[in-house]
Amino acid sequence: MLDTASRLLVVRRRRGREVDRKEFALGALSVEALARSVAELRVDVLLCAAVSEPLRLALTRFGVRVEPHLCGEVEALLRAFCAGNCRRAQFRMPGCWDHQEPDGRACRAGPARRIPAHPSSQSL
Amino acid sequence: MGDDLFDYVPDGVFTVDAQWRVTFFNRAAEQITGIKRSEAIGRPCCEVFRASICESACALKQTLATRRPVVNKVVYIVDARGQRLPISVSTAVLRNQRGEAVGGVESFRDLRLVEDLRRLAEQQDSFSNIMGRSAPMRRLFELLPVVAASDSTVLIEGPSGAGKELVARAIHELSPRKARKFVAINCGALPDALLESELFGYKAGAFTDAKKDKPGRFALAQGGTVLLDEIGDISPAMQTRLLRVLQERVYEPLGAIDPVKADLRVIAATNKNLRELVRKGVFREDLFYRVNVVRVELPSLRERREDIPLLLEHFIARFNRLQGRDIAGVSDGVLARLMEHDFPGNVRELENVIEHAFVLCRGALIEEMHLPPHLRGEEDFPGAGLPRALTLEAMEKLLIRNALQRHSGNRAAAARELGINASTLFRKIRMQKLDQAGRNRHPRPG
Repeated sequence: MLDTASRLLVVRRRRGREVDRKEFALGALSVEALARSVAELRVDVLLCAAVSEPLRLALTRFGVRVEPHLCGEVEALLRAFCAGNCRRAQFRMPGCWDHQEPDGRACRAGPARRIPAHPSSQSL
Repeated sequence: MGDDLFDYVPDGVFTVDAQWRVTFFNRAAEQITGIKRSEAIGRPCCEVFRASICESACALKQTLATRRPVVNKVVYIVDARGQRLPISVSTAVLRNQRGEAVGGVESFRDLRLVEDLRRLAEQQDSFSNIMGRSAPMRRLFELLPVVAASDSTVLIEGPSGAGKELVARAIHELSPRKARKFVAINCGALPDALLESELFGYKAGAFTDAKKDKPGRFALAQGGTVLLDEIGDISPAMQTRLLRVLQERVYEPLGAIDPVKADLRVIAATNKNLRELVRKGVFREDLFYRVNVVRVELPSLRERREDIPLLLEHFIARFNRLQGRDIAGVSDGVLARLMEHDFPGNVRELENVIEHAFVLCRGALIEEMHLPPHLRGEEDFPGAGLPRALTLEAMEKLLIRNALQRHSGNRAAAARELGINASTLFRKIRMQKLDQAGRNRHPRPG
């Protein structure tokens, strides 16, 4: 769950290629402070599993696009995200997809600069 | 496991195998999490359950590691719609018929019903946003409608942070003047000249820079209620001017020729003992009798400790609402600390403590580490640094010695800090064989 995650993996991509990746520790932060911290890492798109609505809205206010309810192995998900098909059934968290985005739009890679992701292999 | 039987249990129940995959998911679990059984079975439990403790303090993991159950741990989960739901979880080891551990079982209870019941109880324990179920507060709740119905001047006495303005607002809201304005002014915060122009207003040309008329607080509150807070701090000259307003119900804006009729109700509030100020000659006796028509006394929080749990629930619910959080409450340790604290800042201090905890707490329960340092015993307060095992007598001696040393042997100041009379302190110093600076007195050799 992003609200209580202790680590954040930030992957930087340029022109379709990964150029850097770093893992950041997240402290015990309030919703606003956590959203601000993520934005300060210059994150464009955040891939995560569960996220509360207040945190999702706060991240959006800070200009971070949130791709929630994703799970699976980190590298596989990153590859799928870059290929624009991270919403395949194998990456979907159970119970979440009946309520959101009925248009079923494909998740798209954001600006090619950075792709952040939730680091926990259990929850991503 | 009798699957059908568990579908009639009101608590959510699920089981996991040794690989943390969900093997059973009852109907209540479906209803609470919003996830269908068919979707949950076979998935890793953290993908299904999404609790605040999944990453850092998984209760099932703890149970399987220690072989000990976890009982009623309060956490929250995020459901499929992104809502945070407060729940309590209990876990145990799941064994096969041969008694071998094959996984874990977790049951969880939706605490929203408890929250609804709490709100209902809160409505019964509050009066116009004033919370309390203690005897002094019940008496206050009975008194307020009667006081509000009259148009008499009211004096509210009580320590800082006890809620004097809240009571004044309640009186206004319950009074026939509720359709008009409630205007509050802190008399102690302004110098005389400024207070006078704030209360009475002024006419253009009354003094340099008075380019146009400015209505005062009395004019703004016309037809309504004005609260004169900290009335015990106003100067003798202002006391005289206020006396005229209360006696004759007229006042003159600065620079005005004609008096203005004051159609308003006056509520005065103070954290001082006005009668004592009259006795000392610093507050006019005639003004005292004018404001002391109906007297409402607010107890300090120390005098109504039984209200602390109720106030805690109220503030937690309010901050949850304001900050979009779902903190379920405080731990037993926090409650114990708060119940024994004296709260010199009263309800306002308690509110600040909870706001502080909300900043630090990311889980579902406020723990001792989320409290301000002075409540964790980390600051320089009289009990800080005491050894854990002490007799009551030894602890008293240490506290007295520390207080005397902090005040360089000034016994009156030390007694004030310790909350006892100077004579009591003197007696204890003699009994404990301490000298004036708080050192042990040793018999001189030879």
